Formats: sequence, structure tokens, C-alpha cells
Amino acid sequence: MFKLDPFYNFEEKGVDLPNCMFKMDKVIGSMEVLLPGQNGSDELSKLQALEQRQRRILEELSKMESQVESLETKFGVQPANQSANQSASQSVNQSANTYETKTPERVKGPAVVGDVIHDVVIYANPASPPYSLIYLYKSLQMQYSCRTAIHIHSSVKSVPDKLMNCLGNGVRIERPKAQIALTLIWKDVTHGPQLRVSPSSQTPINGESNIARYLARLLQPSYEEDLHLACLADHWLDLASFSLIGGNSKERAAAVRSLNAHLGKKSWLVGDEASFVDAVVYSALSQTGQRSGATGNVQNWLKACESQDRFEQITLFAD
Amino acid sequence: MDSENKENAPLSKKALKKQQKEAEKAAKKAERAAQQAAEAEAAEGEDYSKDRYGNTAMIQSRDKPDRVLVKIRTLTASEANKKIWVRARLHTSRAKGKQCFVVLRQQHFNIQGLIAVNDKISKAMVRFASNITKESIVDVEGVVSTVPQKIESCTQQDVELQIEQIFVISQAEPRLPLQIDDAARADDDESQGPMVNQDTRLDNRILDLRTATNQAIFRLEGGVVQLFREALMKRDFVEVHTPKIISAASEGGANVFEVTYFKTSAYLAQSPQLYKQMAICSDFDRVFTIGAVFRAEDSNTHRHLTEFVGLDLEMAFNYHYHEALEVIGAMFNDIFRGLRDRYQTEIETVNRQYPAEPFKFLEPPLMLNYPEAVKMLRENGVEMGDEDDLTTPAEKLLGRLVKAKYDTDFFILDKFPMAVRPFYTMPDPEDPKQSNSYDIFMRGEEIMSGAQRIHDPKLLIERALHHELDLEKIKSYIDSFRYGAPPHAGGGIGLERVTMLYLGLDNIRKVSLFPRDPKRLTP
Repeated sequence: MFKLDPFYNFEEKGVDLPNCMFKMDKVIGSMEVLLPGQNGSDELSKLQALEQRQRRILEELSKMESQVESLETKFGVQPANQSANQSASQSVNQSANTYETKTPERVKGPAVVGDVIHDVVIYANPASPPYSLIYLYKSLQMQYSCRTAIHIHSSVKSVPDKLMNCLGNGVRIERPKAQIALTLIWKDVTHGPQLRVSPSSQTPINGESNIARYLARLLQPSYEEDLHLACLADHWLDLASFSLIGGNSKERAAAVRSLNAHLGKKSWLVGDEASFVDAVVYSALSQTGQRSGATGNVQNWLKACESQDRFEQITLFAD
Repeated sequence: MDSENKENAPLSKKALKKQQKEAEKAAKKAERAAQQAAEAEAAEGEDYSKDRYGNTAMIQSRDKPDRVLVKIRTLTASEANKKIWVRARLHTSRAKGKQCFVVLRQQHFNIQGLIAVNDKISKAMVRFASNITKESIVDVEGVVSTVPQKIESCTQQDVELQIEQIFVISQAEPRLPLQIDDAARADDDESQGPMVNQDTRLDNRILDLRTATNQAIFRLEGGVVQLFREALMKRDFVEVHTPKIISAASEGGANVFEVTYFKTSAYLAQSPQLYKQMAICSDFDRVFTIGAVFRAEDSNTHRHLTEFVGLDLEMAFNYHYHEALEVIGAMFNDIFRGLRDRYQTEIETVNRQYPAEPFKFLEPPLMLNYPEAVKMLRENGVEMGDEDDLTTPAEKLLGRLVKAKYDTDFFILDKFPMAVRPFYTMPDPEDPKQSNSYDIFMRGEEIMSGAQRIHDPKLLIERALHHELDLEKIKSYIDSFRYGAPPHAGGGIGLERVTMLYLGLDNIRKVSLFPRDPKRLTP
């Protein structure tokens, strides 16, 4: 990695350090920074040196970049690389969204999903529909041109009509014009819903909470930008999948109690407004039949959810 | 060493004794055998069940008895203790002392029968039953009785037939060119006995077709035709029949069989394409046809035949060819659903010999675009251009990729590049490199190739010239659109291929009753 000079050079200042005991930072030394004017010029030159170093590194990096580019053209790997980039750019977006992807061009541009449709396939059992999908789809729709397709797999005999158009049946975008497609397949899956994008290079993503995470990362800004909120979100998502859906009756009751306690202080699970986390927990409560019996804060919160725009469809289908 | 020494050495006392004993034994045995033979003779002399078995005279329709013959399929535990008549083939017989087990077969159902010596049945009758040649047709009267233990080797596992009368209606020759049991053995089961190879099967197709698997395959194949017809009739299609002897090669010109036609020559139809389209131009709106199609392709692969049954359809649409594509997709799903629901036993029977994963499909069918398929293939290491056609390995790989992602064996691939389609394919209105054409895949193999056809003679001529075709040869085709033609689209499938892929079989000859390929013209 890059090496940085120590910010303070004690040797230069000529301070005698005792060598009979452990070394300790000088309290006075660090205090000096807070005092302006004392030896400010020295500090300034240090900063300038630092700045110069950075500039040098950046120059070197851009030199390396142009070198790589010239190599690419030399060996003619450019076109193949581009298509690979398209798939890579999506994962880059997920991890490195802190400084680059925030720009609006990136959000609108096709770079996020490539020039060919990005098809997210979700298998779900009609016996326990992942309602949070509806919320996430609506959120995605605000940022991308999306299309949905709902299929019944041959392992399932029939699916209620309301589930067949739960992702809206309004204007259908033609496949080539859509950036993201959500393909929902009602299938006889036993361990909760499953998401697949490119099965030859990734394992399927299991469980409603994890699917919600994947889809929420496609959103800009991603929910993970604020680490504190991301932690809170993960807490509630895990609670939904492990305790509310996967837990026994005791664990469920405990989870509902902790929900109740949290909602006594705050009106939403994460942050100051409704989010996909609310949708996932709402969905978990619905699927396990705990929605109707909810009391107190949880009941109020459920009502508040239902008054939200993006929950509209969920309440229609979750009954 | 020891025993050798003993043999050479003079016999010891012990050995002498032993020898004597053995001689005594043999004498006794001979005596008993003689006695038995005498007894048997005596029994035969006064055979009390001689009216209960025998070879019947050839049936020349002299009598019309009131005898009711029941189907083996209907014999279950609920029929127990009834006395019934059955006509069936003698599948196997196994004599065991005073009793004889037989397996009676009727198509792909079979039942165990038992003939045991008792006050009605003589030994001679049991002997007669055990000597009936395999595959003979017999009339049997017996009492249905439940069995304590399930009979694993028969389809009717809960009951057997206590046979009281048995008559041979038609005798089979004792030497069979192939054993039905061998032909019915599962592919991976070589340890159990000999296998019958494909050519032996096809040379003796009559016997081969008697196996339960083949009975099921061809019943299911009939079901495909039936369901195809039902699905299209339901959607207001008209069934038409197109000529099979034609004057000019319909597609391209290569791969046609030439036949003498009085003083000139004619060709066997490669596809009913032109006639389907002409029917549309004659206002039949939606037509389908089922009939033989001939291809003079000298390719000996697992999926090519020189004669096969084509299921073709063509329909006029209003504004967008996806109207037709949706009808085609729905038709396929009707067929798959029908097969899944109505032919469960047949599918299970076939799977016993040729195991395959159940056919999976989505409702409505999955529709992908060509660029998406190209992207999927490129991500998995296939190098191809945007306008290249899919190679056969690429098709297979695509099938696997789609299956992994969408878990379906059936999908439609839309928007093929213009460059790889025939001249009469309608180009895409926005991108001239794409076309309004589609391929349909089952288990990674193409089964239907279709498109919106050009219904405008001017554009048709332009495209034909672009493909450097001789306009004179396709004049009649172009002319059929001169008097107003509705926009239309369609496609055709091969019955054998659909059946083969639905069942997950590896060779198209398994689903053709009497297959025709470049090397086989008989039987």
C-alpha cells in the first residue's frame, strides 16, 4: 500500500525523549495542532508535501491506465472486454458505490445493467408469497425502466389470479427497452424464495431477506451507504428471516416483542421513513399469519405501513 | 492330490459300500420314474380336464359366443373372486412341479396367472400350459384373487389369476428374433442380461413395438397429435390437407426427393409452407395441417429422419406477430399440460426404461430475445458475433443456461438476426438487422422455426433479389400475394422431435413407428 510519512516528526523538533520507560505520545505535542499560529507555516508545508505526494500518485495511476489501454488496443481485447465490463460494472456498483455511482448519469445510464436487459429471476412458492417484492419493484421502477413477467412453473398446478398480477399489470415495456426485468416464477420451492441472475457464475440467493438485500443494492443510493442504517437494516432483515419465518413459536413471540419495543420509540424500523426493511418484516408477519393478531405498537406500525403508497399493492394481495 | 490317489488306489471297503449304495439309489430312481410315467400315462388316459385346454381351430368367424373378454388393465383388488375371461399374450411361463406360473400381457399391462394341479386341472394341462410358446395369443378363464405379497414384476400388483381354462388362439414360433424382456430392459441395466441394439430392434420392429415402453411411447405420440388438434380447434383453426406431390421445390430447392410423375418429374413436399400461406390468402384465417413431410438430407444423426410427421400452423394476425407467437406458446402449453395430466402412466412406463427428468415448462412460456441469448452465451465463453446463427452446441448450452436460470425446458427465442433467416422473413421495423422471427426450443433443441412472413409482393421481390434467388422459380409463390394478403405468421414442428424431447429420449428412431432414414427403407 501507499506509505505515509508520520505527521509529526519529533526528532526535528529536538524534544528529548526519556528512554528509561515506555514511550508515550506527548500530550503537549498533540495540543500544538490545536493552537493556531504557533508553528502553522511548518504544518502548512507538511500539508503541501502531502498534497504533492497525492498528485504524484494520481499521475502515476493515470499513466498506468493509459498503458493498460494501449495494451488493450494492441492485443485487440477491447470489444470482448466491454461485454465483460457490463456484467462486472453491476458488481462494481454494488460494492464501490460510495464515490462514483452517486452521480445521476450513472443512475440513468445503461452502465448499471448493460445494454441488454438485466433479468432477475425469482422462484417463489405461491403458498408463501414474498410480498416485499412488490415494494422493491415499485422502488426499482422509480429509477429504472423495469418490466415484469410472472410465470407458473409446471410443478405448480394453479395459482390464485391475484398473485398472477401482483407486480402490476399496467403498461408493459417491451423486453429490449427495459433495463431491469423481474421474472417471478411461482414454483414449488420448499425453503423460501430463491433468486438467480447468472447461475453459471453465482450461487442462488435464498430467502426473502437476502433477495431484498440484492434488490435494494440495485437501488441508488444503496441502503448500505450509511453503515449505521445498514447495520440496523440487517438486524431487522435477519429477525424477519430467522425468527419470524424460520423460528418456532417462542422465537416468533420474542421477535414480535422486540419489534413492539422498538416501535414504541420510533415510527419506522430503519431511519425516519418507510423503507424496504419495513416491507420485508411486514411480509414476514403476513406469511406467518401474525399480522391479524398484532397489537399495540406493531399494530399501529402495520397501519402506518398500509397507508404508504408503495404498500398499496401489498395490502391488496396479502389478505 | 489326496482324491487322485484314492481313485487310483484299489477301492477301500468304505468306497465299495458307497458305490453299492449309489447303485441301489439309481435303481430306485429308475423304478420311481417308470412308476411315474405309468401314472402319468394313466392320468393322461383318463385326463379329466381335457376340455379345459388345447389349441383352438383357426378363428374363421364361425361362432359368435357371448363370452365377455375383460381388459387386464381393469383387474384390481376390487375385482377379486370374479371369474373372468381374458385374451392376452403369454409373456412368460415358468413350470414348477405341479404348478405353472404364467405372465399374461396386454399392451403395457400384465398380470400373473397360476395353473396348479387340483381336482379340475390335470398334470397334463399344466404341462400343456408350460409348453405354450412365448408371445402366443391365448384365451384364459380364471378367478381373480388377491395376493398376500405385491407382485413386483407385473403392473397389476395386487391380484393374480387362478387359471381354470386356457386355449391357444394363435401360436408364435418358438424361436423369437429378440426377447421382449431384453428389449424392455433399462439402458443402464446390462448386468441383468443381454441388450438389444437399435438395428435389431428396427429390423424386428413388430416384436420390439410390443414392449411396454413402446406401447406407451406411441400412445403418447398419438396424444401429442390429439392435443395439438384440440388446442388449435379451440382457437378457431381450420384443419386443411396440402398436397404432398408438388411441381417445384418449395424451400430453396435442395434436399427434395424427385419422383417420376407420368412423363415428367415431380417432388415430394418438404414442407406445407407455401400451401398454408395460400390458404391464409384464401381467407381461412387460421389453418393447421398434419401430414408427412419429406427431406432428402443425407444426415445420419439422432434427430434427422427423411420422412416425418409435420404439425404445421399458420395464422393471420391483426397488428403484431406476437399475437401469433402467443397462440403458438399457449398451444404448446396446452399440449404439455395435457400430456402431464392425461398420460401420467405412459410417461412413467417410458421413464422406467429410459429415465429422464420430468419435462418442465412455464405458464405463460418464457420468451427471450436473441441479443439476450447471445449475451448469456458470451458470458459462458462462446465466441460469436451479434448476427451469427446458433450452432448446435451453442443451442444445447443455451438450453442448459436457460434451464439453470429459469428452470424450464421450453422457451421461445425471438428476434433472430435477419442474416440467418430465409428471404420471406419480415424484417424488424426499427432495426433492419433483426427480423420478426422466432425459434422454439425443447430441452435445448430447436423444434420450431417460424416468423412473420412477408405478405407484400414488392418487398418479397426485393428480399429475394437480395438473396440472389431466381425470381422465375418462385414466381407462383410471389404471385399468391398479389390479390391482397393479410399479415400472417406461423411455423411447423416435427411430431417425432416433440415426442422425443418431451420424453427426454436420445434417438428419434425410438419415436417413429417405422423410421425412414438414409440407411433404412424397411420394414
